[in-house]
Amino acid sequence: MSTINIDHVDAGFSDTTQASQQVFRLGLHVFARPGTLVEVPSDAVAPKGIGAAANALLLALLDQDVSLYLAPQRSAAATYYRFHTGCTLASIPSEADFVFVGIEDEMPSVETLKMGTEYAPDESATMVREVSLIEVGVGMTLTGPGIQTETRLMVPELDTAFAQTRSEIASLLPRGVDIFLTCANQLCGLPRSTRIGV
Amino acid sequence: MYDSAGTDIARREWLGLLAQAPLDMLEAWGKDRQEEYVWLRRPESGLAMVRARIGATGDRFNVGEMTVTRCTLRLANGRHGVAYVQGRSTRHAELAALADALLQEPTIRETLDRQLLQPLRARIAAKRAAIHQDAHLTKVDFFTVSRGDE
Repeated sequence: MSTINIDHVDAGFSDTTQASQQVFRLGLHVFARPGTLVEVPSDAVAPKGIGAAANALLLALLDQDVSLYLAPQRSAAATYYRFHTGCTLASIPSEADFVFVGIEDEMPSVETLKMGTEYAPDESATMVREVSLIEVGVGMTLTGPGIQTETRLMVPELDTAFAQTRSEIASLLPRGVDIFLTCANQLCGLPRSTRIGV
Repeated sequence: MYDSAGTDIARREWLGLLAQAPLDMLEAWGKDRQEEYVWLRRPESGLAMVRARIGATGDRFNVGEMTVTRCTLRLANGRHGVAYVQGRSTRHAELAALADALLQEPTIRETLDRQLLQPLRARIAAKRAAIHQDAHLTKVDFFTVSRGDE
């Protein structure tokens, strides 16, 4: 067992059980209603460069059975999640169960991430993508389960290449990658079943 | 002092003492302390599997599970204190973590050693001696009476 140097680790949730469950409930909600925006309450002190919503989500979802990929320069954050959740760290995105991508981080291509198998589609990666802005009602159109007709979502970091890749892997359903979009304390879901039109 | 694996030997000793410390002794030491700290991890209880080797050489086997309470705090000066203690007493873990953080401060270590660690060493040694004594009473020496015709 390797040791963790906690010299620069900040506090997690003050009430781990309650906070984790609240955040988990919000995570369920945004995946059930893709394209809706919720605010995530959190009293955890997030590592530098990680928004409150993304941090709360990672604290709530990670545990010792899963691995997390973070961009190499985020070693302080890696220690933080190792300490608070007991998760392991993946060295490349394609081996991780959870992938966090910050605003300035390089975005790994969605089709290279774990997509599960036909028998176990749950063994796929979940991406938490921090973005600079999430605006509902404008931008790309979203359709699919949980959306009555269609809804619109504008995120500067998600370009047409992203939409293209995502529509290419859409036919693999139930395999795929689920994405949480976060902006500061805001959270929005883009599950694998949601179709993106430009 | 560090051993070959880079472990701080003194700290390892006091973490062991604090983990075994009776709560009343820790409480007597800690109840009036004024240090302020923040929690990095609030006290939480869980199960830990205890494993051992017979005679320290045999195959490792599971002895059984025990309750462990752990916590991590940070003092205003940035020092961290950690505690892993037996049982479910969150107060025990809290005081042990506080003592761990303070003991890392070289200027007050000696005072703390005298106030807290010395009595703990004595108490734990006495307890161990009593257990040893009890066990010793039941000691049986096996021997074979030699028979004269062989």
